[in-house]
Amino acid sequence: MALIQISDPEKSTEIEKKLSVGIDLGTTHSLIAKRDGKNLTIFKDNNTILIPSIISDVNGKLIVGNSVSDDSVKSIKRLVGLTSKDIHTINFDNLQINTDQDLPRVILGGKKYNAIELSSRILSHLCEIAKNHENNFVQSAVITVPAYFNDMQRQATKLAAEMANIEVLRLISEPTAAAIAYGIDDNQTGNFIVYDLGGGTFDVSILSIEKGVFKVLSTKGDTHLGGDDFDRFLVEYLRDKYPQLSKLDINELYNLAKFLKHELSEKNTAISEKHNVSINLKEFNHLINSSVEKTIALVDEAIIDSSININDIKNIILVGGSSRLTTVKMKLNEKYNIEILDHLNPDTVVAEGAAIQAEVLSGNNRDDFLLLDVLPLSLGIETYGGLSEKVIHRNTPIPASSNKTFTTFKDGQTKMMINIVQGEREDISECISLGQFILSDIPSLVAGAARIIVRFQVDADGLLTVSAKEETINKETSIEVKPSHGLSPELIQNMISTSNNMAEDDKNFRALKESIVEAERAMYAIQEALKIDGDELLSSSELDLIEQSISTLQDAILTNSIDVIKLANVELENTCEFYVERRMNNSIKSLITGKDINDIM
Amino acid sequence: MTVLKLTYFELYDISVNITLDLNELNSKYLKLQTKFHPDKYSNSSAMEKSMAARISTHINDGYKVLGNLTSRVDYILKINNFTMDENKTFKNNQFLIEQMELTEKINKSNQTQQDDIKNYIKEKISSLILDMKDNLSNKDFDILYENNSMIKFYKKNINQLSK
Repeated sequence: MALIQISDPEKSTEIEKKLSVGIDLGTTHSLIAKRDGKNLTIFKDNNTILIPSIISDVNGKLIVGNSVSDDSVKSIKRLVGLTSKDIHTINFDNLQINTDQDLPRVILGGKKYNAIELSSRILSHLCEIAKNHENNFVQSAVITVPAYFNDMQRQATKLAAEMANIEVLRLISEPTAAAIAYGIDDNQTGNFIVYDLGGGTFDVSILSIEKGVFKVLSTKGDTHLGGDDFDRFLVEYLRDKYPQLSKLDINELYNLAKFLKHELSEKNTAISEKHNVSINLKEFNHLINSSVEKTIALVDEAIIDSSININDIKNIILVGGSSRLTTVKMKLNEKYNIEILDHLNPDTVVAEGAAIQAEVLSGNNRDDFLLLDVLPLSLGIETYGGLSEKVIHRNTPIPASSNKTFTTFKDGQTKMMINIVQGEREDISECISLGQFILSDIPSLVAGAARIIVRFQVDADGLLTVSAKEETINKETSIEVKPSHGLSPELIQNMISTSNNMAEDDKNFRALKESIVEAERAMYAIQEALKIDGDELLSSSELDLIEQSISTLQDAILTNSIDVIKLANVELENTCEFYVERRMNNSIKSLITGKDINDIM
Repeated sequence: MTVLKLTYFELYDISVNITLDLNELNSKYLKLQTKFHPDKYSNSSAMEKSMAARISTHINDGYKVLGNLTSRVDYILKINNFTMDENKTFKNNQFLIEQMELTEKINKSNQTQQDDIKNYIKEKISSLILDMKDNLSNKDFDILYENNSMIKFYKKNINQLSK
């Protein structure tokens, strides 16, 4: 019984309609889509829905689209959430990387940009396309990320969206988005493996879909495994096999490899007459065999984690351009003998699912739809000896929380540091450090007397927040976060304030419009709620108080001042807090069989 | 918030017991999340969102704890204010000897022997579950705690077997 559920379409016309979209921010290309009831629109740029995730510098301006210069930046997604320390681990062919700062930066047009800035540029471009088609600002979006993205990569993606002035309704994982499209559009129910092999990443999720509830049971993946690797293997192989190709430049070689690869998803032998080369399926299979085997091993692990018997799995849903390869389909068939579903376009199915979720979350609420997701990678803390102690295990349904109690080991100790890591291995050097949390203001007590409860909270986007409290004297300890990924709060603030993607006037106008919409929503919702149970749950003096707050907000809107409106809105929320709480408690009461909450306390 | 003070058993309206009907737990889980998942509050005020997130977390935490035998029993002990005396160690010598023998057997076993061991362990767990039910109704929490520790050992054995 949310206070605010504007599901009646006639009612929602009273309130300015927001444009909410689904965005598939991909390694090689990105898509932006909108869903309106049964209608799906995938927006086109230069006549293509697959918008290249390539950024070029044209006379000092950053342009997104087809590569136009030698230093155009491709596959920036591979760099998202990595620190300069990490980047030796992956192949960054064609990218010039600068590692002076914690965040690695690529050099483009003589300037340095980090991955968040460039991702933000892609997102702005996508929104621009939608805006031109719809004649309306993109206000909010559901953005897809690889299921196996860690906290840092998710934070970075969200930050990129904020810099592009997009409110992130939810980050959802790519295989989940695909499953939503199959579940909603194709009306599928049962247990599914979603096998998502894209250009840069591989993900597998096991989901159950039932009566509109999408429940992710387990997820596995590799953030650096995909079709781009196959191209690279093929380039290396062709170079060895055909010495005459050495005169081609690297772009031409890659284009040739891609052409041959695509041919091989339909034919047994691919020939390029222009370059006088040929390759057969057997050779190609051999090249990519170990990569495909790797994906199969991850599918096996995901099945084990899901606790689902393989016989109870109905279909394998294929997602991502590289899942078209005959080699992949053959391997999956051989190994699992489960019917493959691939009739929705594997290139667009993720954006479609994101658009559905965006529609649901933007207020065109469907009561019959719910997505229950899990944490992809375990969260832990560093303990003595460099080991990770798991705090929240992978595949735990989110939002989730966990409390750990710590104590001091020295008399009078007032500070403590906790290193938070993400990953499955015991050895913390094999995990990713998310940051150092320094607890201070611990009351000065004898060693072992203080009891500090540290609370780890993972929200529905899979993002972590940490808070701490000293229990013996019941005092909040302050926490200073030293993120290991170079994203200090100052840097984040700085990046957002300097992101000049929008003119100042535009920004102000939009902020005012948003604050009015926000205020109208809040008032509408509370008035609707009062109609239902105001008399039942509130005394007449409480009712007066709330009505007074509403009329104050109405007056505030007339001032056209953002600050005044926001203040009055917060006032209204504060005034209504007790009422909202009563409603929530009341709805639990009605859910659990007929008992009054006061009877079971 | 009142909802957050409910025990997981109260939240799910399931009576406190060693075993429970997982299908019932699951259907109630879906029912509760359909009401309180943050996605259902995406257009609500910040205050409502945060309340819903807290309730949804509580529902998830409860689902995880109640869905698993040993964590469920640990939770029953917790809501009965039972805390293990840390100076007391696990004293059941007979059980420890059995564990050592089992570990040795598991390491040397072939496939058919493994199936036998698995069945043996499953029987042990079943009989411990019956004991636990008695111990819960008699409020013998010390023994309940010990039963549960034994089951944890047996579960580890099963994990070793499947490796």
